[in-house]
Amino acid sequence: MPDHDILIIGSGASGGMTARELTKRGIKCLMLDAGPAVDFERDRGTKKVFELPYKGFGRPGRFPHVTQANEFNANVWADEKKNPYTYDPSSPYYWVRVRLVGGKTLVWGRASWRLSDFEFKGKDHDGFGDNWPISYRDLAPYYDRAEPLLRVSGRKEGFRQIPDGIFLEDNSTDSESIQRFLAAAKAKNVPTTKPRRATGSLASSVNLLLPDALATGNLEIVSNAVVREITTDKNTGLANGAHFIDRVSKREFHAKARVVAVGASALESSRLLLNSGIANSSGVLGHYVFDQFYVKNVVTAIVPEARGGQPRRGLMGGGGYIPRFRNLDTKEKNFIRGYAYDFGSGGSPSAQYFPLYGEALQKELAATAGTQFSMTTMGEVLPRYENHVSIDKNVKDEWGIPALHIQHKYTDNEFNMAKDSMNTAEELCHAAGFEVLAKHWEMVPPGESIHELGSCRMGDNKKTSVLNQYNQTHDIKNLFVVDGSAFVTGGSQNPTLTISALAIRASEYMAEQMRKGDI
Amino acid sequence: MKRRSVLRSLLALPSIAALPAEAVAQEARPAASETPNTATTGADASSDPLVRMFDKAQFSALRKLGEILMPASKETPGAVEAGAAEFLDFLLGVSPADRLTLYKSGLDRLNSEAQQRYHQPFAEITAAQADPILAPLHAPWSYRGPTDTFAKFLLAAKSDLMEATVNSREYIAVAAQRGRRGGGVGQYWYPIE
Repeated sequence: MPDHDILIIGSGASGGMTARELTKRGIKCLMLDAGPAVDFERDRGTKKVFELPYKGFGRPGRFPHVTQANEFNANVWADEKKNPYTYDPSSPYYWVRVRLVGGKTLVWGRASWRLSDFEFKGKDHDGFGDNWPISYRDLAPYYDRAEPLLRVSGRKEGFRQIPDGIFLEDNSTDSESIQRFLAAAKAKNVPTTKPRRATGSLASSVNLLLPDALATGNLEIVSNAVVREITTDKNTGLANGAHFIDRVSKREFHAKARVVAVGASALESSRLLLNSGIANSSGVLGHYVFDQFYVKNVVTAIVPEARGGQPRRGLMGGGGYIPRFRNLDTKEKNFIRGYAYDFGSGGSPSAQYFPLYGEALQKELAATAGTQFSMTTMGEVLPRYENHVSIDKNVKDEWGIPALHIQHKYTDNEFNMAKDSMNTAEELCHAAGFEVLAKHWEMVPPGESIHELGSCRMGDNKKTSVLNQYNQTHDIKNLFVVDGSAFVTGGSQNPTLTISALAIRASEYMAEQMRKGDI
Repeated sequence: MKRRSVLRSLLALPSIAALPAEAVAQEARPAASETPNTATTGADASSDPLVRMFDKAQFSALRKLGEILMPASKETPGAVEAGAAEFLDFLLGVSPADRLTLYKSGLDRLNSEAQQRYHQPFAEITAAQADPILAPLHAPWSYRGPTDTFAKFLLAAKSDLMEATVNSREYIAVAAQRGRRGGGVGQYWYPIE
């Protein structure tokens, strides 16, 4: 079998971006993905809900940890029985995975925000944790390259906490209800902006990244390749490939390469390194797991003028974003760092909010149809050593590979932030003249935001980090981890854009090191 | 009256949805050289489901609860016409055991409360008589919901009966007939190999 220059494990945002950057430089890449490739013509179709076996309820118990799963999209998500993991029952973790070529970019929410030095240099700002080994200035040129690839739309605002980028300018007008909310926020010095999102009917690795890489003739993709272990040369200690198992036949293979780049997603990449017994001289591999906490529908409100069943044209619709505004120039008493909101106008409040039933409920649902204004909080979770993943040797997946044990808890900093976000959201809605129907500050369980990060963090100190600033492991110079596991902090911004920018930067470094013969 | 009869009366006019399967196949008869796709009919459109998980008293109470929580309107079928109770009997039978236990205990409670107050089973009382028994449904919403088991049951039943109704063949057929947007159609992902 031919040796490849680089073996890339994973085909989502980081794997796809790595393949695109390396193949265009003439580097021969072999990509392994644990799942099959989607045939969009064959694998998708329209159905009526009553034609489904469980009429939209979904097969009970199929996805205890994937609240995003419904009976229409159930076949997209990784099967939890075939891909088990464990946690302490007192600290549930919702690990949401997609095992298909393209990974989670097939289903992501597309929000694309840059991190800033409030994250990269967070320790300098408030003394907690560690800084990244890079600053915003180091990554800015790579954000500039990632945004056009993902076709990110947005509006330039000049906010320090979410630096502007290369956007498809969003000049859309706001509905009256959104204008009222923006005015209320402005009066309270709360910043707002348009959403920044990847656009297009599909915004995935499979249509934006992998086709370019395949077109070079330098990429081969092996689907259904469940990687068990990264292998190393006994004499040099360098990575030399990976053992993998065919997902369907369970036949075993070994792929050889000069360099290995792991982009299997945060936690999954660390699981692979832990199972391989490599890259952990620091002892921090698997530690400093975090994500972003979500308070879904922290406030659900009604726009009073929209009542009656048919809101007038121009009143409802649209949405926006409130970037972090806490602890920038002032200091909160009860928490450090900050949170952001998504907000949206339109849709109808759920029946659960009305303490009614029968005809009275139906009348109220008809009267409030299309009147909803809602906000969701996304908050920063502090990276802590004690939040970690390890191998559970007693549990194995369908392919006999030891499973992950995940230990992750939120702390008072997150709880206090969530409470503050509820109170602020309520205040803003009242100021906009909306009727608050429901409010709460209950965070979804860790992991549910699908923004799991860390566990293989980068840093300058080999004793406290796994990777250097180019996503290269300190221990094995031809082994890179290019996904969200490299994050040191995550802020409240959705991470995919930063994962993509980091993957471009790491790929450029890899290519240069290969050219020089250093790896 | 059978649910299918109710559906036909609600639809009022003959339509493709109300025609027997063989009529549809006749209209779309393929040329001899083509491979035909055989038209079929859903089991629940042609046959009555068996009730297996609840005893007679529990099932009657669930059906009555559906009639009260999600009644039919002039335009749309309610839980009874949609067969919501029959569907939930199936769904709960394949659900984690604690969910079925919640329902059984809740339905027994409905019957015992009705007996205690009105000397009749829940299925025989009026909506007005049921209102004090259903008082937990008038409590304000909270994220975690009530701790009381009976209140939990009522909220679960309210949500399940409503969803089973609006997702039913009967409800969607009528909504479509009346030109309402909505519902019921989604992009489905087949098993990917």
